[in-house]
Amino acid sequence: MRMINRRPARPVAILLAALPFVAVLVAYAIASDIRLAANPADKLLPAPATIGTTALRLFTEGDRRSGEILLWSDTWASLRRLGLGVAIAAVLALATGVPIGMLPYARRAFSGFVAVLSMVPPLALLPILFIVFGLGETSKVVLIVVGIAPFLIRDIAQRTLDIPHEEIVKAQTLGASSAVIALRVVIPQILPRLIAAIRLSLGAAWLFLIAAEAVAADSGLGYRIFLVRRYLAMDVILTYVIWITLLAFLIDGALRALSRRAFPWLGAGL
Amino acid sequence: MSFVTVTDVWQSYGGRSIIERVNLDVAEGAFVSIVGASGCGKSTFLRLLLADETPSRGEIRIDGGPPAREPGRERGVVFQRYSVFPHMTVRDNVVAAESFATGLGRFFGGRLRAARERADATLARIGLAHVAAQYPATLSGACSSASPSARR
Repeated sequence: MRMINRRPARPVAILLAALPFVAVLVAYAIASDIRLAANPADKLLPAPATIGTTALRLFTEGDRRSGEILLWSDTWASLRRLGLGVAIAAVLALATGVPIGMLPYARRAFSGFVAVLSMVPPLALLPILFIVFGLGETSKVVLIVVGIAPFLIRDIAQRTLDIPHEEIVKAQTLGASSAVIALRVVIPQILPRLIAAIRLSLGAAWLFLIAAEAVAADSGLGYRIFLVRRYLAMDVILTYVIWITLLAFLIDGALRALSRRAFPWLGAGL
Repeated sequence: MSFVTVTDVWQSYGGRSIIERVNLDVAEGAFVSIVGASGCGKSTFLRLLLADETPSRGEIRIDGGPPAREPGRERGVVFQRYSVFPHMTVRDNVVAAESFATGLGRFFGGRLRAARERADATLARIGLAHVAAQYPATLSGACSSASPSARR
């Protein structure tokens, strides 16, 4: 039987899915063990047990100075910036992308401009943003928006163009104006695509968030990682990295569940 | 008195001429079939009738009115594919036939209830009452061919 037609049975499938993760953990444990055997004070690859105790401490013990648990306040600060940035970018994508896709006048006016805008490297804009908006929350949120909005706008515009022409003609024969076509035909079909595009952009959004926090912040997950790097506190850094990965995974899953619940007509998808 | 008059219609794309010198008079209520070999211009002609495109030469008038520049209520169509709105249930698709002509594209309150009842009656008449609350993607082939006609 050809390889393309062979399917693993369910237990084997689960095993295969877990295998790469287990392999990485085992490799790390072995490497860490080797380094710690040579030098017990080694800070580069802390033992998994050390990471575990550090993680427990970070999640439950308050900071000596302020009393609040830093990991949770950092998480809340970062998620707030991320949420605001992504929300603003999503609204921009809808407000700009749909007209670009629907109206030939808007397409001519804006699609070239948005294309060029998407080529501007957002991280290079970071110093400008700090100069213009200061070192507070605004510049970080603006960086996220500038970073992911051009992609979202272009994706939404393309998805709008992908709506079958037959549906648009059909709506016109039923007497729909351009506004009704936008409200009842285009936007309801675009919203699940918007959620999918946001899910794909979240990786970049986290990147811009952490970069902005690393450069100029006093709270946040990125800030904390770059702060403790000076003490080579790899156990803290790894805890934060794993925590960020888990958060991103949960947010992605939540968005996928939201899309399935709110748009049951869509059928199978990623 | 003919209802649909097609006068000396030519259509070409770029340099290629697809249909030339088409003249047609159709009386109201008549049933017309257009047959032809693959690529002879049937779909092009239907798009011209629909006012989805404008002929390079000639004009098409419905009921003596001016030649249309875009599709409107005086024309109806059931496409081979994508003839229903996939994001609405079968019932809502039928209601859309009436509600799309309003300013916001929807009915509210009592008007919506009445429209839904009329839609259910139509669906019952053609035997689709049992799928009224389903989305088009889940329908069998026979059902999904029947639903766009229900809207007309």
